[in-house]
Amino acid sequence: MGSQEVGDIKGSTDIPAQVSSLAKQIAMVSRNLITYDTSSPVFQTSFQRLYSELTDFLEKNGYLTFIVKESALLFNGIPVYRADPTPNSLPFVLYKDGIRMLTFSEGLEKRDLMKFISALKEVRKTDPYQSDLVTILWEKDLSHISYKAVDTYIDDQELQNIDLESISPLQEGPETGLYLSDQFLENELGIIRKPEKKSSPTIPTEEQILNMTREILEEDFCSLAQRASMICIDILGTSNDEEILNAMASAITRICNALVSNGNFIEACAILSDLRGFLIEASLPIQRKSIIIDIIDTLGKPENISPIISFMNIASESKSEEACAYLSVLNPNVLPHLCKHLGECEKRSTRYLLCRILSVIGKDQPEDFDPFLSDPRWYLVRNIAMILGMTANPKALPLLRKLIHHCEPRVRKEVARSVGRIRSAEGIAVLKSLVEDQEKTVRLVALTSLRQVASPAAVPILKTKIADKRFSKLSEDEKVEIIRTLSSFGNAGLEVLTEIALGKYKHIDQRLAVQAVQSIVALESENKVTILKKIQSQCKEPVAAAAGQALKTIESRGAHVA
Amino acid sequence: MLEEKLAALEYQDLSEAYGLLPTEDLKLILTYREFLGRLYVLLNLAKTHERQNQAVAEAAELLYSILIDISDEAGHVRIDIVNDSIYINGVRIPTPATTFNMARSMVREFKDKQIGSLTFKDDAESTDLIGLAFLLARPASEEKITFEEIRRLIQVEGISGIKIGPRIEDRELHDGLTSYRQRIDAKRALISAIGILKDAVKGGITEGRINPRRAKRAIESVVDSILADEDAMLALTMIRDYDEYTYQHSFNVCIYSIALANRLGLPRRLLADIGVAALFHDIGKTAIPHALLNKSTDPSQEEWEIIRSHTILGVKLLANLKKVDTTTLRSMIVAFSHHLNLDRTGYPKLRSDVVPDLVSQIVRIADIFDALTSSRPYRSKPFSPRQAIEILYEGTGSEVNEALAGIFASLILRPEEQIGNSLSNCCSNLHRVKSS
Repeated sequence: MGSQEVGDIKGSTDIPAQVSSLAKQIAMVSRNLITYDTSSPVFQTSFQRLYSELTDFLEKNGYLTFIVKESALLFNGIPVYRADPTPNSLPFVLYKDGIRMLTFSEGLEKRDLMKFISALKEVRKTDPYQSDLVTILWEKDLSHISYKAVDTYIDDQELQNIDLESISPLQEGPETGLYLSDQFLENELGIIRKPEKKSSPTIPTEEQILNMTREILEEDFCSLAQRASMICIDILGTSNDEEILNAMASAITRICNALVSNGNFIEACAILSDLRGFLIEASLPIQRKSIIIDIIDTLGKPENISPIISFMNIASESKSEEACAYLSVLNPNVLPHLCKHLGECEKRSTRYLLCRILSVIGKDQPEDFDPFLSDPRWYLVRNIAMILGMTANPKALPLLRKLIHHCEPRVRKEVARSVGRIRSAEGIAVLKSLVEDQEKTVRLVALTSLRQVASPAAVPILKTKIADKRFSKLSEDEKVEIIRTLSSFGNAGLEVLTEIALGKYKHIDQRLAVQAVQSIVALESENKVTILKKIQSQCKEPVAAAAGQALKTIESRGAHVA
Repeated sequence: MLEEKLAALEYQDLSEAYGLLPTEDLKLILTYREFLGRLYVLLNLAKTHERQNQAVAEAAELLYSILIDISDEAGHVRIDIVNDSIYINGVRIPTPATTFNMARSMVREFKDKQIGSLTFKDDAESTDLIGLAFLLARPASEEKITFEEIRRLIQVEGISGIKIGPRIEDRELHDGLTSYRQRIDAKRALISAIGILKDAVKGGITEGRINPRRAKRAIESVVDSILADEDAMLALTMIRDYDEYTYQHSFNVCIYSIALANRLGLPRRLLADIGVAALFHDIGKTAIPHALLNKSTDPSQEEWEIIRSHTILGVKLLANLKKVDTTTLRSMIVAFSHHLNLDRTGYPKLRSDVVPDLVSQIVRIADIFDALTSSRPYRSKPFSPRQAIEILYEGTGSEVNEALAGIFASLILRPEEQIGNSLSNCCSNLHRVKSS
């Protein structure tokens, strides 16, 4: 706005200063709306003042008409407002789209004036190829602000050549003398004559009309996009013309992208679901399947994905969830790009959503994550390890195994957790190494994961660990955790627990032996009473006492059951 | 930036973003329309009843009650007549088929008396309403009652709660425009709309040369012309250029569709959208050999298949438009569905459960009517509008929407013959326009 200057009106003493002031105020209020929000006091004050003075003027004079020039507004032929023809100047904004005359008339409502000022702002963001100020104002349907615009699209000579007076009657024409045949009507228009059906046209009721009006009013961009894409999918299924098929593929892609760029992820998701539904139809030819896959691949290209990730970084939780749902139904080609974003994303909640999306997309082919396992950023590798666990696919275990010696303990810890999530006996081999990790936190998570895997194959690993004399150097909580893990395998762990209780391992103290006794009680084994009696008779206090107590408990439980 | 736009949209009413009327506005319009209806009843009662009549008092009370409701919200009720449309408190009141004649008659009466606006202040009483009704009930032509005279009488009778404003002619607001303006606009609309189609035929769509801005301007002009003078625009459908049937047919379908949609009371923005879709409904035909479309003998089954593929070809061409917006989407839908019947017969053949939407049904009725009433080169004589409406009615329920067909008939037939009367005695509005 720096270049804009309001010129002095010289020799215009006969022009009401009020008009000049009003013109300046319109320019100022429209500038204010560009800088400030509508609720800001600066805008509100200037707008109220303009409305008040403009309506006063219109009350007295009926209307106010400005002639619009490129760099001035004229009133009664005299400039009342001047500004250089720059994109920010009021006269130029009106003039460039063809407005040559602007009139405000008496009865002007506040919201009409607001709509007018908003239009001046809106036009700045409008693609000049798509629309202009004349169309924006027309759509706002203002009752007391009118304008005259030139139409540069029409050749005036051509206009003069049309003679409306020479309208020819409907019946005339180079006809054959025969009406269109019923067959012709059916073929051309798709209607079948039923001359026997006689009825009189009646105007529908107010309610019927209102229902139809509502139905059309409720059709928004989303519903139209869904309908149009449904049609394109229908054509994809019926046409054999390659050009048409490609055009439909392109249309569906553009519709989905348009929905996404408007934030309508759920609707875009629904279109993708329709496509996927179509894809699993057995009768669908290979060529069409590949077209559909291409559509989804295109939607997953980096240029289409990046804005969505940026959006997730600033959007609300619910909107991000919608974006997440959309990204999750894309093809695996999106995976490398999402991983790249995962490594760069600073917002924790977005990173979590990306992990969720990647775990869904990479579920069937976890090997696609392989290239990222050697990434120098440990935090990205940790997230990839987490995603591999979220896939719950045993095929991810070889990848996780590659990370068991990663230099960063937080990565190894995540690997241990992920193996637990996969819950496959094959994971024991990975955990075997991790329960021996140099970091206690890693070992503790590995124990938890062993419990989750719940495979008896873990017992020998634990037995080896217990038998090792280094066991005694472990912290108390880790020892307890090992016993707890052992007892989680049920009868498979009974033998080792008994050995601990009976004091087979000299480096294990009596407190752990007592815990082993307590663990035995909790088992469902048939011969636990025999074992406990043996412990009671062979062991010293406090282990013998613990076994005696355990037997009493079992006895009282039995009496209670009886 | 896209992400900013997306974030902003979260807080924005989408219907507002796409320029549609939010439901709240529809409620407001219904209230205003109710007010207008009650005013109309009171004005008419005043023409046939005595001032003390009970019916007049009851009508005034009914009007007063809704006036209070609106005034409580808005402070006043102001009716404006602008370009033959009625606005209440700055909101244009769409006029569906059920209130179309009422609105037309009110506009005419106000114009006759040179009244441009009526403002009901918040302190208006029901006695003010009765006083005004009896003042306006005097026929303008017989007693030569002028605007100034009405204004004077309002003061004399002490009607303090109501103010009237003079009608401001367009030529006063926009010097250089004459009373001939509407006809010029109609011509402009015709040339502009056909120009767009010609551009499309020359490959404008496939080469991206279609100018959406120009298309919008042209259709806005058509919509304005229909709102201002429906008869003049309907008369334009009678221009027959036999060398350019497709252009003329498309333009006619556009006019009929807008006029029919207007009788549903849709906002201008939607009328324009529907107009564009109707204008492009047969765009697929431009990809079919001219010789086949104008064949003097009946096409073979294979040839019919090619002709009928224009619905799919239309979608293909429109899908090439640069921007995917509501206008483009609606145009694609209409191009595909305008030969589909309600029972999903017709064509193209469907594999999914696509059901024709209301806008496609509007265009379908307009398309059938114009196709039936038009001559084609070397082909046939056209059906009369009456016969065309009868054929349309044969297909109600299964092929075309009965309610829409009823409204369309009211558009084409004379008002006194619209409701409940047999078509056999009806003449066409089009004939009326032509003969006048």
